[in-house]
Amino acid sequence: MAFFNITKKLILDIDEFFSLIDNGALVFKEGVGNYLKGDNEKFNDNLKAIDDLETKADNIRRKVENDLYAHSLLPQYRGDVLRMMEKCDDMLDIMKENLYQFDVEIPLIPQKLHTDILKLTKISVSAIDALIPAARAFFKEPVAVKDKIHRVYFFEKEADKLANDIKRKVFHELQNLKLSEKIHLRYFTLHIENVSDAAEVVADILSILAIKRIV
Amino acid sequence: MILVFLSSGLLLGWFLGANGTANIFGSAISSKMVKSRKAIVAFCVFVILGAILQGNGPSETLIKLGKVNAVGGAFIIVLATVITVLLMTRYKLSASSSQAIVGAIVGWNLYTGVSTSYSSLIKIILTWILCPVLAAIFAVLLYLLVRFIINKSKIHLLKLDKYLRIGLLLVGAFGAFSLGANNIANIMSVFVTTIAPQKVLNLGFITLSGTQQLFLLGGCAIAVGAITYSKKTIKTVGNNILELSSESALVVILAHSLVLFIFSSEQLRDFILSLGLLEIPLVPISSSQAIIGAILGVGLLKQAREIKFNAIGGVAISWLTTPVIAGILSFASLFFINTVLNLEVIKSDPKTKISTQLIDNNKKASDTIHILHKITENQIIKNQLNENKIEHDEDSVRLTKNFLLIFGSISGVVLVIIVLLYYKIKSKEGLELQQKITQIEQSQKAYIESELENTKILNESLEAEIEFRKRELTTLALNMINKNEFLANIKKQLLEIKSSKNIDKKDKLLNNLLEHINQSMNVDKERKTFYSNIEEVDNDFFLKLDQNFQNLTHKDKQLAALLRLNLSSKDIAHLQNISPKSVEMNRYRLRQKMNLETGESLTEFINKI
Repeated sequence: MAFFNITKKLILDIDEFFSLIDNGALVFKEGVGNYLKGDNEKFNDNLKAIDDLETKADNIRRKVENDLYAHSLLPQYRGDVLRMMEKCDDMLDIMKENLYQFDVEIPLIPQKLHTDILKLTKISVSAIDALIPAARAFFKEPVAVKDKIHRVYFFEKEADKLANDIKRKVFHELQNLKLSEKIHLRYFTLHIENVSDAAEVVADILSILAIKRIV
Repeated sequence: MILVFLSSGLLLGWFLGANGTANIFGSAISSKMVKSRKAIVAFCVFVILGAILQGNGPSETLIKLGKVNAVGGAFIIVLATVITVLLMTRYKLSASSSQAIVGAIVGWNLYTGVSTSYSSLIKIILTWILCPVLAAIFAVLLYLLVRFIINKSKIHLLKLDKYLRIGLLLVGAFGAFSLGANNIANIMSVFVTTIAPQKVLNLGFITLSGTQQLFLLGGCAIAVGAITYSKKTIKTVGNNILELSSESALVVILAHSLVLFIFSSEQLRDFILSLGLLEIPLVPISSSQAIIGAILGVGLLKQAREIKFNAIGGVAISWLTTPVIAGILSFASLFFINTVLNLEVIKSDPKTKISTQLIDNNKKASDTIHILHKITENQIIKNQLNENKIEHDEDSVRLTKNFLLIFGSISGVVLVIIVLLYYKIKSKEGLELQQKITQIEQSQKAYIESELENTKILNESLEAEIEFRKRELTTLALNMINKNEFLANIKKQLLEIKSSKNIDKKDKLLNNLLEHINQSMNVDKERKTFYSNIEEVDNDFFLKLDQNFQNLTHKDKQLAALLRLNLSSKDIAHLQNISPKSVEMNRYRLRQKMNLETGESLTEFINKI
């Protein structure tokens, strides 16, 4: 019976892991919004929340890894599944790191760019929002993975475009900013854009995994 | 004694156990979906159950093919099968015990003159052809079904993994049951009429007939093979034809098991017959053949490009050759054992005896005068019987001769093909080996040549450096000589200045002198450099001097080094800032220290060191 319980627990753990990633994306979006609004108290709450989520996700990932190896489960997909989970965890790491960079470096974001930065954050997070159902589908319905991950690629491209627009605006239109401020803004745009890039990496892994399961 | 005769059967059982486990549980164990211990236990239990409960059908078919009634003959048949299978395995060719045993029985039939049941033989051969085809069809259908179920049920990957594990174990157990039922005939069928106990064995929960007791023994031999050698076989065999996923492995084993079950289940045969459909022949088939058929089916469905068709071709060739080799071996062994060892390989048929007695009785009856009618009738019957017997004998002799001729020709052709193929493969391998050796030799040669070239270049550069240093030394020495000469010249000039009374001339001479002195200021430094250079260049020379003449002082060694540069005493005097006489004295001392005899050149001696 222990064998059945392990399977059940693992299924729940994996589900929870993806929920944590999903929550992390929401917290990140909210955190960037709060920073732009200048609501420090809420921003600090977001920081704490994403920190907790990251720790929990790490723990669950390690537990899943341990269980899969200890009980010789999923021998054919184990490596790929764990790699996929690791890359998902990386997304959460990137989001947490970004929020901390906002906290530490306190970038000066002109009012003119607020909407664009918020939009960029929203699009980047949308890539993760589209990715989580695809990742869940891999376990239950691999055929559906392909239908879901194309949205990730779409959001990733949109995030790239928008990030380029922001960078262009910073360097060409905002003449009153110092070069250091411009470069600082460029980096923050890049950081937010990286979230969707990380989602794209997971999407690539998922697409291969899905093919492996279907064939 | 019975065990000695049974030993060949038990050996074949052991071999079957080792290979059968690999066929059935190989993919599951190597992919770690099923633990090897669990798999082996399941295999052992179910293979024995299969042998006892359902081994009768295929066994009867083999008995029909060759009614082996002497234990010596049975022993030789199974021994020929074992040797064939082991030989082919030794040369990495896939061998089927089912095909080998049929070949061996036909060999026995030919040797003993017993007519082969061609209907049984044709039935068996057709089943061999049908077996992989059927396995492929089953595999395709089952694969489609499994995929459909997985896709529709949206089952979680982890749950699927769990179900697949259970499924692989259950299907493997079914496979073991079918293997035991189908292949026990290969091991024990020839012993059924000779060794099987007459008494029924009551174990309490089950009652075993004599044949079943024999099958139990065979099943145990298979189990021993599985326990002792299956792990090694699994490691060696692996996924030779196509890498299998767990789902595919499940389908392949199930398809294989179904085919084996169909060709061994009497109940299923009776059921299908009761439906008015065709009669399924109960024939021992090759487990490997069924597995390969199933793998091919799945592979073709998946349009897998990595199917190793060459391996399949090789397997097919070995399948054709197996019965032929087993037949020849069986025939030759029977001849040897019968003629040389005088062991009985066939017993005279009791039915023949009965008919002879009947004929005798009839003869006696014909002698009675009372019933003339009966005499006449009996005589007619006797004549007819005789005629029929002669005709039958002639027919069987003709058939046997024809069959022998055909069998011999086919065997000959096949053997020639095998030998040709073998030599072709060997020569190809030899050629490849030779090419590889040549390549290695060439690369080694090139490497050595390049090394030589490098050494040559290094030597040349070293020689050039030595030459350069020597030239440098000589130049330095000459410079020093010049400078010493120059100093002598200055001395002379100073004396001239001293004697001169003209102030302008004195000033001019003094200026010239100052310039000359400035130039010669580095003489000591250059001398040191010179001697250190000498020591550096002729390091070996100084070492040899130390080893051979331990009483030499540092100055002696310097003198020797300068003599080695072929400098004259005058030049050496200039270099050492001493008079030529002192140089001569030093040379004399050096000669004494080096124990040179009169007339022996010091310079030549030093150059030889």
